[in-house]
Amino acid sequence: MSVNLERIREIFSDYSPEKGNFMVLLHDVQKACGNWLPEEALMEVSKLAKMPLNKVYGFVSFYTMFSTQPRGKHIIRVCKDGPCAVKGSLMLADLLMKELDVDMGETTDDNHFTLEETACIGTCTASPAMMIDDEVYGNVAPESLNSILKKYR
Amino acid sequence: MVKAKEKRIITGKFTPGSGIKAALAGKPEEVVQEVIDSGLRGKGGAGFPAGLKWRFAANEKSDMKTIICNADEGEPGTFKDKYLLDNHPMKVLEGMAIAGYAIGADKGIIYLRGEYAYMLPSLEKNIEDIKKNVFSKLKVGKKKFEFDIKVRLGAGAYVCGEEFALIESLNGNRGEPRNKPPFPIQKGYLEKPTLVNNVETFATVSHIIEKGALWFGKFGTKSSKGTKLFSISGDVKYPGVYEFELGVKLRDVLELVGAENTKSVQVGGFSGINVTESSFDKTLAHGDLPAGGSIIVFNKDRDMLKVLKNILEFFEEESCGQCTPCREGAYQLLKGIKMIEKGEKSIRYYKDLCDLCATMKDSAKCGLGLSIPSPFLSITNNFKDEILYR
Repeated sequence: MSVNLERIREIFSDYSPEKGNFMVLLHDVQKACGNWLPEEALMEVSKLAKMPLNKVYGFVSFYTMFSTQPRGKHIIRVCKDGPCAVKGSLMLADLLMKELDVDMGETTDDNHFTLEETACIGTCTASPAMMIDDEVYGNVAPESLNSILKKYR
Repeated sequence: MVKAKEKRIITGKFTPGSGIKAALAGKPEEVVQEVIDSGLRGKGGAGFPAGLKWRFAANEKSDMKTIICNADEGEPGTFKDKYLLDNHPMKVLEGMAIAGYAIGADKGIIYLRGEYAYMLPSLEKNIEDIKKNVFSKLKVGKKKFEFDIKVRLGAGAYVCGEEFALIESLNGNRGEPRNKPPFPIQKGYLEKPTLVNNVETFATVSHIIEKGALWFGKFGTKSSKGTKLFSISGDVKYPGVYEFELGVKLRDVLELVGAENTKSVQVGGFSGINVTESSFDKTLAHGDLPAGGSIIVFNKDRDMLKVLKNILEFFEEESCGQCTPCREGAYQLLKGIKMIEKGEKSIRYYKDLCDLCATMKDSAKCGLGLSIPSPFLSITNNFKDEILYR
């Protein structure tokens, strides 16, 4: 996929150049590039933000929600922490890996789903929990998994 | 009979505007004094007296100061800040404005963790509402009262809940903690004085300023005033967010939330401590059990070695990697536990791991590294037979 540099410039013009906006900006750039940050995009960011590319990369690689590898159209994030882990999220992760035929962190062949682990998403009252894009699913039972995935297929 | 009762203050009724109006009726230093007199401790976990922090921030001279609301609620098993922002957002926003008035800041930033991005639209709408319906109608002397609030997203880094890492992250850097001093109140966001408080702290402040320090002081214990929200999860019948007076007995809390057959409880989240039956009569208060806000209950079916492994995997992943004791320490502790699981290591090796914990406690740079030994030592101590002699 080619990177729409024009769109990145537009995103930059949406925000004032203050440093505090850098994170939001990258969130927007990532969204515009299809859920990941290709090198060309980061080069453009580096130019526009007047920040060396290595610093941009250092920033991006620090945060788990940014990716420098291609990701699918929808990102499935399974909570792996304490309350969810004891209530079966590891089994849930196994089922998803089998169903999508990917390992944790990988993207399906059709580029439709990326499966990731996430730190606690604050849905501990309804564990096990997962997120697909910005939607949170709690009390995920193995038998309901397919009907949830269907919505995104 | 269930002994613990919820005491609804922070989650109770509140008339929007009543806190900030009461604040503006007095001088900024009176507001700071009220918070000091109330004995309020920061609700983020460390329990630093909030009023003192406010006084230090108020005393700084600068052309720009910023209020930051720490909504990077990353401690596993914690969801009370999310609950507050969903259900009582006005109290939080008003608390930020009160802090702004008290220390002389006209800007606030809510640092919302990336995983909570779906809350952004409603939060931004609430900010518009409070600006339009409350702030715009207020005056300080003859001047209009102004306070601007923005939301900024994180992007998935537990360490950014540490105030310095959070500020670094907002400054467009990797979220790595810095050495102190200078403290954020001296040099924080954009290198200017910055006051960082937890979501719950701001919500509590709105009530304190509305009703006064004396009223607030009636609740809680001598060294831990007021109430506190607890996120309770794991093997309980009624998981959820509860509000108790500080000083409540853990046993009574467990009874109320329907914990049965309880093996152990992780108090204060992953970075807190693990307690068993013999400690259930202790209280949740400063100086006793950590009142960090997260309570995770494990029943008798749970394998504590697996629980500990899960906790260490979390810390190994979330260590920012900047200082050696934390980066290598978390890795070695996890490796050790995995070997003990396979039966490959002796009790002698376990003692080495305990020594490593002591080193980490002495030398890690920030709260993250300093607290990794707590779950390790408390769980292995509580379950020596189960973990070491399996």
